[in-house]
Amino acid sequence: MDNQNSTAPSTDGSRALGLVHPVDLAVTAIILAGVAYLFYETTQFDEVSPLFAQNIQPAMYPQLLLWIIAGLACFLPFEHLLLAKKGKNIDKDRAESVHPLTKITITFLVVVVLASPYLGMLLTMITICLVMPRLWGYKNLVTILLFAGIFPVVVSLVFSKVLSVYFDSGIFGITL
Amino acid sequence: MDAIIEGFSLLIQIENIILITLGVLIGVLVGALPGLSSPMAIALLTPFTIQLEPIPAIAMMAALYCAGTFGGSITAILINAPGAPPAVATALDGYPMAKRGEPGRALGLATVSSVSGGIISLIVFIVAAPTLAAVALQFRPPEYFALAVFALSMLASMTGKSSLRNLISGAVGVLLATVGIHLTTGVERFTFGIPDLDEGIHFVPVLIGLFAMGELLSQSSTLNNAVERIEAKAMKLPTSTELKELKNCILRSSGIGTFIGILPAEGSTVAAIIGYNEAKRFSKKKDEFGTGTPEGIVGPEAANNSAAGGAMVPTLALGIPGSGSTALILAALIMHGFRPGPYLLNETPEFLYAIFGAMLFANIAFLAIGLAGAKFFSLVTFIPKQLLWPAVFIFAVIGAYSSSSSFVDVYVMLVAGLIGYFMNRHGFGAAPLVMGLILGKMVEEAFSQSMIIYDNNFLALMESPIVLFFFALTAVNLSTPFWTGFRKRKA
Repeated sequence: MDNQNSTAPSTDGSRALGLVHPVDLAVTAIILAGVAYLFYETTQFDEVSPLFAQNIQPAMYPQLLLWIIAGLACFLPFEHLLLAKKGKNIDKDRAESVHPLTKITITFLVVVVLASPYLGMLLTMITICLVMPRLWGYKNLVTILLFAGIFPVVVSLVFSKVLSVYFDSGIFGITL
Repeated sequence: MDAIIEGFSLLIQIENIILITLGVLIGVLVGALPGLSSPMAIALLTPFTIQLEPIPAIAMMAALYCAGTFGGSITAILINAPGAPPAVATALDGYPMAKRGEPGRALGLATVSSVSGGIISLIVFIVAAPTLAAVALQFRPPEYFALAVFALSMLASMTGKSSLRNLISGAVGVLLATVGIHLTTGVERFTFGIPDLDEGIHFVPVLIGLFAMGELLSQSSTLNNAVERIEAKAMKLPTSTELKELKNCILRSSGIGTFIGILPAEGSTVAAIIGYNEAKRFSKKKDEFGTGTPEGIVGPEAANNSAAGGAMVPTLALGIPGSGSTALILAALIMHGFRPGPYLLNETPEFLYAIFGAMLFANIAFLAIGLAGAKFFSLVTFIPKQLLWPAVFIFAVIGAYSSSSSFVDVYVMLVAGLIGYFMNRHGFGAAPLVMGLILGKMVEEAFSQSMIIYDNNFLALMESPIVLFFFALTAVNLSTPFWTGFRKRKA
């Protein structure tokens, strides 16, 4: 029951929380897991003779940093108590779950970037200009077609001819 | 004096002037478009400037940096949405003035105070940088180590959601700087068998990912936010009587802004907020603040532009970035083979004065751009986000790809963007991470060299009064949030 009350939205839209912030606890767990893995990695670094290493082994400095990160991360679940006193709401940007359109955008960006070596740079740009405005709800098809037809060509010409950037032509061999 | 003349003469070449003007235009445009920021534009521009000579490349970035801060005020005034964070305080009085039918006057006040603040800070820059560099010549590795630790501790007070998260971001940035082959021993660290990581993390794709991609993903959830736009037909410069009344406010805010800019990790946003508060505190018409009073516009605008100039002092004289944007300029300097710090000033002073000249040119160009382009820039705010952000993504992909014509860098950019988005969502800033990444190598090198000098006796570092001074500042800086919290609770 207490637990239910502790996560009930308060009047200012923020959530009343207990001593430990559950989201930040998860963030801390992720950071500590990462730190643990990287610390293990540092134990695999080659060792060199103390004379050559000037008594500072290659692993020492990264290990020191990992300790600092882990130490700081341990305060994260309790930080909201201090921030609340300052009138700051750490949950403002994460109060709602990731927007569906953001998830769709991430998926599209990952797909288009992974496909870019095959599509080539020009086709990749045209795809972005055609698909992204539609994904984001832009309805004027004529503007989208003009945008997708003109913008990538102008950008390609400027970068390949003026700035001498080499553009991969992909498996279709399309380039300017 | 010879160096100043030589530096300025290096700029007076038609292609350099074109590039600096382009930097100013891009900066104002980027600053004026909500969501786009100068660090993002500098990150996107970096790979393309590598092909340029160092002076026009860095001058273009410096001009863009100054212009981006100014450009943010346009949208703050016309649509009540600061184009860049430093313009957040400008909206408080700029938008009400525009709303009551005086958008041209609001833009004029913002422009004149921005130009004044920028020029005053550049005068301080030209006076302070050589002095600071002369002092810094006394610095040895232990002093550099202490200075870099102090700069990292300043991340705690950097603008953002929390000091703790800024420090974690900064530490992660420092850790990222350890990736690659260790210079002293030749041992591979965190390379995971990937040869591309032997030389360390490539700056460009990471910077583009963090600043451009992260923001793109954030913008995807705000597409339906409606804004009321006010069209400005022309800019109206303040009269001489008005300027006389505002003179003290401009000078005070410029001083505040320059000082805050010089402090490592303190940026234009903090300067603008303090500039606004101080303008209100000294004003005879305190009650009019928030309703469209001229002091409420010139206070933050003079402060944020002077902070932009001030931030260049530690960046160039000490190699310690004063803000996220200057951290990117520092990265570009390193990519062009320069070693920022006192050596830069003593060995190539003309280079420093060329950058100073470019920033001066940029500040004067604001006036021309404001007068001639007010209408255009007010129209720019009408570009739909659905077309703007795909264009930004294309520049991000090309920017990451062109740095080494490799799709691997595009993947790195994408991963950095995704990490940046989730970091931002949980309150971890990208700017502290970048500053950590830039300062990381310096911290480790200086620490290793110090240990060699003092035969691995860490306490011997304290023999240097400069080291003691910076460590004391670091301790004060890190304990301040807890100390003030304790005092408040007691009160």
